[in-house]
Amino acid sequence: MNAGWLDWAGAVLIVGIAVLWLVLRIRRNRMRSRAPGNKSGTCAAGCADCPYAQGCKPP
Amino acid sequence: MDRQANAAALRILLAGNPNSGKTSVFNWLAGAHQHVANYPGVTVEKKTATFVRAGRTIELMDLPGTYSLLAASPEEAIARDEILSGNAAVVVQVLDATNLERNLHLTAQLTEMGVPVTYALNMSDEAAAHGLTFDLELMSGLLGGPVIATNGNTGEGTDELLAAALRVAAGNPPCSGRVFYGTDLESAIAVVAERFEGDDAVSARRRAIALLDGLPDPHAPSGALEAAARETARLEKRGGRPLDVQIAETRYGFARGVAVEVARESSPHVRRASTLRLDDVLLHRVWGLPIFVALMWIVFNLVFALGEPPMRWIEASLEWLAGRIAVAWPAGAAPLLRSLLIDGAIGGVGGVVSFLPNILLLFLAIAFLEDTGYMARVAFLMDRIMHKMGLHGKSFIPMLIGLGCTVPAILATRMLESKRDRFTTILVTPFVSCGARLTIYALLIPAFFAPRWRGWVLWGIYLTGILAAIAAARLLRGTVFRGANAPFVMELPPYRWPTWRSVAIHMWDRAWMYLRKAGTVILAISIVLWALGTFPRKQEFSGEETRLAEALEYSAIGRIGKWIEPAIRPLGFDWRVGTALVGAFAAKEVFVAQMGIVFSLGGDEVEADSLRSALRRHYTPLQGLAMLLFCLLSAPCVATIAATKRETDSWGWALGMLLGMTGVAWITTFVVYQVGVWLAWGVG
Repeated sequence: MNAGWLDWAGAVLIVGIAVLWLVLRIRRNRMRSRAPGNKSGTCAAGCADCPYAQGCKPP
Repeated sequence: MDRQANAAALRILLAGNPNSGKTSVFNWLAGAHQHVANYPGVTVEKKTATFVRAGRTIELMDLPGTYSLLAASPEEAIARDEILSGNAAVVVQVLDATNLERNLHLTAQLTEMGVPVTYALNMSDEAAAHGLTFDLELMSGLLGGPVIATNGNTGEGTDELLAAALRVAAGNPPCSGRVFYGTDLESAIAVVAERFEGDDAVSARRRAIALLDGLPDPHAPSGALEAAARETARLEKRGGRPLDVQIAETRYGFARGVAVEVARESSPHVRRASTLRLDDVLLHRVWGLPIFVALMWIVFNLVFALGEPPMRWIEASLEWLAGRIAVAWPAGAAPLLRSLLIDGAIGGVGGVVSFLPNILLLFLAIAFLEDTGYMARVAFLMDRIMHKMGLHGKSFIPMLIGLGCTVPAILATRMLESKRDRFTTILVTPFVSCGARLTIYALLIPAFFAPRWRGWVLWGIYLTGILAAIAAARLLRGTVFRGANAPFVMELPPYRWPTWRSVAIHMWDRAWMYLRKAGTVILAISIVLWALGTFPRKQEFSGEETRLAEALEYSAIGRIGKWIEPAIRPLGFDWRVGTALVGAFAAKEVFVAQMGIVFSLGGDEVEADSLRSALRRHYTPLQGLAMLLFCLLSAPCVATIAATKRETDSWGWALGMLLGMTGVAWITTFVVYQVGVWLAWGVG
C-alpha cells in the first residue's frame, strides 16, 4: 500500500515537474521575444533550443 | 561619444561587408563559437560577447554585414544604427583583402562620420596567394586609423588588432581620413554645413554629407534641411543623376584610389585562376545543376552508409542500459516509475539520441560545402531558376540555412529588401527539410526501404521539399505577391579549404545542442506524452494478450488519436501515427519519441532498431512513404510559426502558413497513397 502510494506520488511529481518546466520555458521564451532589445542574438527569436540553429547562443 | 558611460564595459563594434570574415575575427577575439560560412548573409543580427582583456571589460559586438551606411535592408539598418549611435568606443572594420576596393566604400563613409575606426585587413594570406601584398603603414595614413593584417582562420593578428583598437578607444586615434568630393559637391557640403550652428567643423561637415547622402538626421535644424534639399536639387540637375549616386561614385573613386595606392602585386593571380577554372565546371550552364544534385546524392548516401555503424553502437548502448534497468528493477516494484523510466524516458529520448551520427554527418557535409565556397555557387546556380519562379535569387540563402533550422532561416530573410520577396521566402522556406525532420527520415527510411534505396529516398525527399518551395513561391508571386523582381548580384568568394577548427566547432556545436535538446525539451515532452499514454488507466480487459494495446487505446493519447483518426485514415495513417504527428508540432523529433513511447507502452520492444521492426510489422512501405511525405510538407514546428508571426507581424500569415502547408501535405499524401493502393505498390 505504502509502496503503491510512493509509486504514484513519484510519477505525479516527475510529470508535474516536466509540465511546469515546459510551461516556464514557453513563458520565458515569450517574454524574451517581447522584451526590448530582443534583436541581440538569434536566440531571442525563439530558436534557443534548436540544435540545428546556426549561430544560436543564449544572449 | 559617451566615453564616460563606457568606463565599465568598453564597447567595440565589428563592422564590414558581408562575407569579409567578421564572425571569424569575432570568434578569435572573444573565444566564441559563432557559425561561420563562406557566403554572405550568415550574420543577420548583432551578436555580443563580453570578456576581459588588459584589465578592461570589453563588450564586442558582431554586426550584420553592410556595404553602406545607407541601409537598404533591415539587417544593414541594424549595423548602421549601432555604428551611428555613438555608444561604441571604437569600430573595427574588417576588410576583405581579396576584395579591398569594394570594402573601402564603407570605409569612406566611416571615416567621414567621425567614427573612431581600427582596420582589420582580413584574408591577407589569401590575397598573398593571389599575388597581392599591402603597404599597411601607407594604408593606415590614408584611412586615418591603424591597419592590422589578420587571418580569420588562424587568429593571426587578432591580438594586435585588439591592442590597436584599445589604443584608439583610449583617445589616441591617428588623423581622420577625408574624401574629397570635387568642387561642386564640396561647395554644397560647405553651404549645408554652415547651417549646423553650434557644431564644430568636423561634425558639421559630417552631418552635411549625411543629409546630402539621404541619411536621416532627426535633430538637424530646419535651415540645414532646406539647404540640403536645395543643393540636392541643384546638383542632381547638373549631374543628371541622383545625388546619392554621385556621392557613391566619388567614394568608389576614393576606394579605388586607396586600393591602387596600397596594393603591391608580386605574382600572377594564382588562386583566382584556379577559382575560375573550377567555376568553369561547377557553374556550367548545363552541367552546374546536375553536378549539385549528384553531390547531394553522394552526401545523402554517405549519411546512411557512414552513419549506420555508430548509430548501432548507440542503439546497443541504450538497449544494454534498458536491459540493466529491467533486471535491477523488478516489474512488480513501483511499476509506474519503472514504466516512466523505460517506456517514457528511454523509449522516447533514446530513439532521438540514436540518430545523432546521421545528423552530424549531414551537417559535416553542409559545413564543408559552405566553407569551401561551393554553397555560394549553388545560390548563384539557383538564381536563374528562382527568377523564373518569381523569387529573388537571394531567397536561396535562407533556404540553405533552412537545411539546418527554419527559425534562423526565417530571420535570414531580412537580407531581402522587398517585402514581397521577404514574405514569399518566409512562407515557402519551411518546405525545405530542416535537421529535425532528418531524425524522422532516419527512423522511417531504414524501416521501410532496402539499404541500396535509402540514399535515393532521402535525396528524393530533400529534392521534393526544394521543388515544393519553388512551386509555392511561383504560386504566391503569381497571386498575392505580384510584382517585379529586384536585381541581384551574388558574390562568388574564392574557393578555400575549410579549416579543421571551423569544422570541429561546427560539429561540436551541433552535437552539444542536439544532445541538450534531447536531454531537456524532448525528455520533458516524452514524460508528458508517457503520462498521456498511461492515464486514465483501464481496469477491465477482454484478454491478457491484448491488455497493453487496450490500455493504450483507453488512455488520453489513445482517445486523441482515435478522435483525429478519421481525418488521417485516407492517408494510410492510424491513430498512433496521428498522435505522433500532433506531438511533432511541438518539435519534429517528438514524432520519433512518440512512436517509441506508443510502441513501447503497447507492448513492443523499445529501441530504435526494434522500433523500426515494429513499424515494419504494423505498416506497409507505402504507408511509410506517406508518413515521409506528410512530415516533409506538413505544418512546421511551433517555433517556426512563432518566428513567422514575429517577422511578418501578423497572425494571419503565420496561421495561413500552418493551414496552407497542412492542406498541401494532406492533399499530396492522399494522392500518393491512394494511387499507390490502386497500383498495389508497396502494400505488401
